[in-house]
Amino acid sequence: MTDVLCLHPDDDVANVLGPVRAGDVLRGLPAGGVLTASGAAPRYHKIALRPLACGVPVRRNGIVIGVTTAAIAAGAHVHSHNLRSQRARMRVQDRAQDKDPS
Amino acid sequence: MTSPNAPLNSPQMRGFVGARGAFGSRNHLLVLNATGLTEQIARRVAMAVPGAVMASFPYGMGVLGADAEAARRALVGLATHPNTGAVLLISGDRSRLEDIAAPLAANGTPFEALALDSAAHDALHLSALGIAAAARLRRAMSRRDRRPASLASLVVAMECGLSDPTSGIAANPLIGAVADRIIDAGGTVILGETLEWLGVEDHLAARARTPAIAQSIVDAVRRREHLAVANGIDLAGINPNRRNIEEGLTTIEEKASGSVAKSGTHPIEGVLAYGAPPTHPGLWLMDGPSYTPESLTGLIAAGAQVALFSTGSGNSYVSALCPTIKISANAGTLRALDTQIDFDASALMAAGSIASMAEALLAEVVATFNGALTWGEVTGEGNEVISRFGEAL
Repeated sequence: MTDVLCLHPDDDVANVLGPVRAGDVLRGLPAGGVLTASGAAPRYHKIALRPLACGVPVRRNGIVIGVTTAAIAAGAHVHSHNLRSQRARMRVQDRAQDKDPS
Repeated sequence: MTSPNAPLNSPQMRGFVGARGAFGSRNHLLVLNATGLTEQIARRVAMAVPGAVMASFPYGMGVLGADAEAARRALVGLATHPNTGAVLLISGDRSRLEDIAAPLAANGTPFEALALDSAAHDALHLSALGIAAAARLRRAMSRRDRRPASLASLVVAMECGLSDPTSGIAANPLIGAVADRIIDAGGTVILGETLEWLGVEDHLAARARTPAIAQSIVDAVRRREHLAVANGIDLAGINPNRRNIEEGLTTIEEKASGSVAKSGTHPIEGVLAYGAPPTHPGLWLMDGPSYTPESLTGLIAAGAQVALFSTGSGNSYVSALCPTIKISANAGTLRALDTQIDFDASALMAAGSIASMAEALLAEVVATFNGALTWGEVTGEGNEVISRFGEAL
């Protein structure tokens, strides 16, 4: 049993207060009840509180902190592999497109 | 203390009297070096005189325009700082000395000024002259004593370095609660690191005192963002940096939303240029770089006598001139860095009360102002790093 810290009732993600392994039961959810971790996450990292589609904004503490780059299951680790910033990216994206033969 | 929000047992504060009603938390002899030619001489002098602190701008006469103005503001700000009891100015040439000497004379701070050009470019000779001058100043300024001060005389710098998720969840909101208390009591708070407003600039702008200030907040953020884009930089890996990311911060928006919690809830009085002093009490932003040493020196040059500095993973850097209180809510960091972190906020990660811990942190601010040493002062980690903003001739 590991606690999560959810900062705002509308949040899509919450921080875990200890290291989490797949199958761990997480409590401290804004709506009450528990959530089962669907993968590992290090202490203080974020897990999804609900399933998130690819390409949608993610809220933490009521603020959009980025956009998903993959579909994310409830209880899964949310970090650089599936969440990216929406800011200061124009030229970086341009460069990526330049290199892309398609 | 006249604020209705003041604690029942008003803290007893005593500070060194400075110019224009300012109070210093320390009484330092500042060896202030203004050119690259003379930095080693200044270092030699500062090391030879116990208790001296050094700040340096190790560049030359080719610094231009806004860059030169920022450097002058920072040098004058450190020289006339209320924590500066006396100044030994060192420079390659006399003209740079005159730039800083005029405001020092107006301020009434004891100082002596030495130019390498006036010592026939003999570095060892200038070092000997400097040590003697520093010794004279050190003895003279030791007569300065503490007088009653109040929270209204506080200017506090808010900084964070090597943040992790505990910074935004606990340590920074705690600092914000203290910011609110200090401003309630008539004091001043300054928050810098423009890039760490990115993603929450609209929330900050909504707290601006006027629409023009709101626009200047948004403009400052957009300018930094465009700077990153124009240089082809992906902020992921730079801000947040690799260590921030390892610890669980994913994006600049996430990091910024935690970082600005240090500002508390009060209205924003304006956006200061790097090293520029606030014109009245309240909450101020400073448009400056995010790298801790440059950022902190900008805030200290603006007149801060105490800095509140949160860290997640640990960050050893502190100001030389201004006591810097390190705060962490990461229990592992507190265990590992027991001669670095001054204030333990880890109880907030397990449902502790921010309000009651803010009282304790405010008491720590007062004790530190009054002379209690921070770990950074004990270990001698202090430095000042004046930022550069452009190419030199």
